[in-house]
Amino acid sequence: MRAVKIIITVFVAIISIFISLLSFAILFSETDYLKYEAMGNTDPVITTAEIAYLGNEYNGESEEGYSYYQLNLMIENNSNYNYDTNTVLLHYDSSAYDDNDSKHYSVLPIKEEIFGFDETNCIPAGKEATCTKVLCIEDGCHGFLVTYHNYRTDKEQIIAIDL
Amino acid sequence: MSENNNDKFWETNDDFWSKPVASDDWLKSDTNSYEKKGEDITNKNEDVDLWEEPVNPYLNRDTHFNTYETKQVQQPVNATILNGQVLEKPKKKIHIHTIICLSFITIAILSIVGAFAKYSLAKKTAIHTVNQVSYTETEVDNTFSYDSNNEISLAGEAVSYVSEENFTGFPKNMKLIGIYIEVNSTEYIYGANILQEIYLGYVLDDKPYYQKMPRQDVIYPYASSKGFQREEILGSYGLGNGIDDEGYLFFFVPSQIQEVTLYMPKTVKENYIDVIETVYYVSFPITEGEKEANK
Repeated sequence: MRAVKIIITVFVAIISIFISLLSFAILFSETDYLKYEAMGNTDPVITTAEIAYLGNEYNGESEEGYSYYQLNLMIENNSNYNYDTNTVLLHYDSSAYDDNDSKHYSVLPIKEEIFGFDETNCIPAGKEATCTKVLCIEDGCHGFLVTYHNYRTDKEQIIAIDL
Repeated sequence: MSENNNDKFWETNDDFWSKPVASDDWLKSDTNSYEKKGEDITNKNEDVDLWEEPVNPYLNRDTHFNTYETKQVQQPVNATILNGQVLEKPKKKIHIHTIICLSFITIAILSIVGAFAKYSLAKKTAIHTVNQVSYTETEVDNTFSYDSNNEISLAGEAVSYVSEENFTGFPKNMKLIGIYIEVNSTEYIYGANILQEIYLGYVLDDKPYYQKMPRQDVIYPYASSKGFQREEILGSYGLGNGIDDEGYLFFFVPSQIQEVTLYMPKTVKENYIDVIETVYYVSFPITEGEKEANK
């Protein structure tokens, strides 16, 4: 009986020590990922949005019934990390404009189209920077909404663009 | 042992077996002894005044009585005093194993709670830290000390090497510029900064733009046309800290840009995360040129 008690005691002690060490090990390993946790709680903000007409052709490309526009977004980064402008994912919606009928658009990320990469635009820490995107919009479209949903903070910005 | 001796032994021991089991007086005189042969002990204590009657000390420790009797007998603890006898108090059982087990379980629970609390606090602090822009910008010369072990030398100009004029199919209204850089590192220091996350800034139509370095494989087709080797195209993954480096930092900029600023952040570890402490920057004019043979 005494031997059983000792065995149970030793077993409980080993398990408890293991759990204690494991909890601290998890703590120290998780702190390495705090960078990403912290970054996930930052909030880039679109301060202004402007659109400029580029013409019926852009970089040697053209599509009948469509025109090219350059969307310039000013984005403010109030965090201590540099951002790629591609971290600011935009959604475009023209259906809010009743007279658009079935008009739609396509988005051409300018850098991706030209160089085959899209990560060179950046918004440095603590700075406000310009992010540009080229949009191919069907003729007759009068405007659309640009929605920026920040998946990090779950905040949403909606900006109306009139053409 | 001989047979005679064997007989003597049993004779001697016959005396032993014939001796009384106990010689206590109270046993001899205890007419109410519950151990008396043939007597029914059930409910025997009902009418017995235990405060007056002698108490059999063995009864107090006996466990084979029924619950009712045990309770009745064990309650009058002072009975022993009344009878002038000093009894050994029943020992309290110290469950040492239970105490040890509970202690360890408590430590384990406290560890989990403590680790969780510590992580929550660290996370809160890190989020607060990452949302506080506190770095300083320092303008430097073409040669400066980036860290205690890294000396950086810049060429002092950005050279436009490739444009649509000298490379068919090059993106319109753009040019590829390169900045020559040398990093002399005296030693490797664990945890020391390496030069990374370099970015370029310029102003176009009164709007600020910033560019990171493109990937080497994107630059290489254009740069190689001007005689650059792949190893001369520096990456953005880090320079210095024990390794000497030299080469070119390439960027794509609009063709009308005539001046750029190179930013070189230096980070420190604070509240479990890397935060920017200082951003060194140098401004360069953009010149037209060809790759020099010695660089």
